[in-house]
Parts: sequence; C-alpha cells; structure tokens
Amino acid sequence: MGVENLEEKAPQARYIYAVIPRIDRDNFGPIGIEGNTVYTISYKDISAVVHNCPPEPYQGDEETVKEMVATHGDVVDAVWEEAGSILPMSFDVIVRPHEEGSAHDNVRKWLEDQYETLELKLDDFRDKVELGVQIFWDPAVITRRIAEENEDIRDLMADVATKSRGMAYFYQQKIADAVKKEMEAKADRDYSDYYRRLRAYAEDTEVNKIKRDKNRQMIMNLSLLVRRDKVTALGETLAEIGEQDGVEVRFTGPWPPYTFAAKIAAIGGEAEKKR
Amino acid sequence: MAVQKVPASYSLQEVMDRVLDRGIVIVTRNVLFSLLGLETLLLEARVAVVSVDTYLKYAKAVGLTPLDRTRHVTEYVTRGRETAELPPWP
Repeated sequence: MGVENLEEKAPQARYIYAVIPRIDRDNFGPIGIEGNTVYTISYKDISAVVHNCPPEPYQGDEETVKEMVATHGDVVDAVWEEAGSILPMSFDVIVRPHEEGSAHDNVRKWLEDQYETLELKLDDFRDKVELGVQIFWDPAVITRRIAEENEDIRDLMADVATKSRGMAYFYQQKIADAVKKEMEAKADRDYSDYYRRLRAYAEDTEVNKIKRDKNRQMIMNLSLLVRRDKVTALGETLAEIGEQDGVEVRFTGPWPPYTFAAKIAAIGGEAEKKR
Repeated sequence: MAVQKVPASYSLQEVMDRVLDRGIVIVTRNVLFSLLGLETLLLEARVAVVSVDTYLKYAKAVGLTPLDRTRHVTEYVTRGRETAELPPWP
C-alpha cells in the first residue's frame, strides 16, 4: 500500500515510534504492533515513524503488552539502522485527531513546531549509541576484602577471640558496624573512581536508580551516550573494572538513545518533568 | 570476573525498561499531562494518549521502582482525557 493511501485510511489516530532524519524509504512494511504497516509522516528533512490505530491506548494482559513493547523496540531498532540517527518515543504515545485537523495533520504540526529541536538532536545523536553500565558487588567477597585490608577491623577481629561470650557479642556488633561503615565509604570512593573513568568516553551520562538484586549489590547504574568509535575503548575500561575480585560489570547495548532523547526538555523530556 | 569488551545483547526486561520508562513523549504549549513517568502533552488540547493500566501492569511486571507521583499524575490523566486545560507540571 502506498503511503498516500495509508495517510487517508481509517482508523484515525497515529501511534508514534520515533522521529528520524528523512530518508528515501517512507514505508517499512507490516512490522508494527499487531502487524500494522509502519510508515513515515515528514516535515522538511525529518520524519515521524508511525502506524494507523484507533484513538485509544494499547493495553492488554501481561504477555500481550510485553509483546507490543518488544515490537516497539524492534521497530525503533530497524528504522534506526536505516536512518542512522533516531529519537525514540516512549511506548503508547498516540496522536488523536481533533475538530480542526486529522491525526496526520497533528503529527506533521508537531514536527513543524518542534523542528529546530528535533533536527538539532537528530544531528547530535548521529553515530552515537546509548550503553547501559551496571556495576555490582558480591557482598561476601567485598566484606571479606574489607575485613582483611582494614587495620582497625583486623584488630577488632583479633581481639574478639580473647573475649568472654558477652564481650564477644559486643565486639561482633562493633565489627559489623565498622565493616558497614567502611563498605559505604568504599562504595563512595569506587563510585567516584568508576564514574570519572567512564565519563571520559561519553558525550553525556545519566545516573539511573540502583535496582535491587537478590545475590549482588548494585553500586552503579549508568546510561552513557557514546560515539560508536569509542565503544571498544569503554569496554576495555569496563573489563579492567570487572577484573577486580568481587566486582561484576554488566554492559548492554548498543541502544537507540532512549534515555538521552527523554532528556530533551522542549519535547517533554526529563528536564521538563523536573521543572 | 570478566566483562565482554563489546556490549552483550540485551534482555527483554531491559527493552521494557527503556521503552516504557524513557523515550520521548509529546509536548506542545507547555501543557504537560503525564502518567506515571510517561509524559505526553496535549497537542493544543488535542490529546496524545498513553495507557495507565498498561504502564501500571508493566511497572510491576518488570520491577520498575514504584513512582511516587501516582496519585497526582492519575488525576492529570483523568482530566487530560477530558481535554481540560491542565495546569503546568509543578
């Protein structure tokens, strides 16, 4: 189906996957959510990547939604590869028609209104990728290392053997407190050190929330915007960090710049949210 | 412990995390209506729609940290669906 037909065809709302630099291709075929045909709506040299949908949000049971979110991710990946740069949208952003214009017109109007920002950022994100870096500690190993390396804690541990039961309990509490305190201090020091080393490879960074994990302690959760030609060097630095005993590094990507697109204030990103 | 020098391929959960919680939402006229971290703006009182139920379900399913603006945001969304003039985001 030609794009002209898609533009006119019901249903009347547009699900938006991303904004890309305009390319020759304006139809990506039935790769969208629920097999919808994915095509572009353009203004000047930028394009919104969309499919036609009813004017209501997508929802469903867990499996259905998981599938839809994964498809959204796949579409973003596919068009990113072709277009070379991308501003990905969040899941389920749908533009509706209104009395004065179709959804199609509204999308084009949005591109027009935000043209300068979108164009600038598309240019900025070209040849850059988002990488996820998470650094974990194995608490058992780190605790042991601290106990071995910290003189005060070592002394306390030597003392405890000579104490009566009541006093030993008191000493164990003291040791536990000292270890906890030293662990926090070490986490701060290591965090600063890792951040400084990783930041050197990144055009931008975003600190994400620490997540809970059953067996390991996450001490850092970063998104980095990195030029493609620096990814390997960053990986080597991460390998150095990961070689330390009790330290584990998780390195994911290359991602389309979801995190960094979301920071663009003028089009509804993080900065806007915080204002 | 070793780390690969090039990034590992990512898991579905990581895709979920990004696609649901990040990415652009639409803004015009500085009238922001938002739900649960997915921001969207009225296109001059023409609405961009995002699903509350879906997000709630998903936030739970993928273990995203509960967002602290839930009540406030839900109120916005309800009004947003009626395309009322919304106050700017505080």
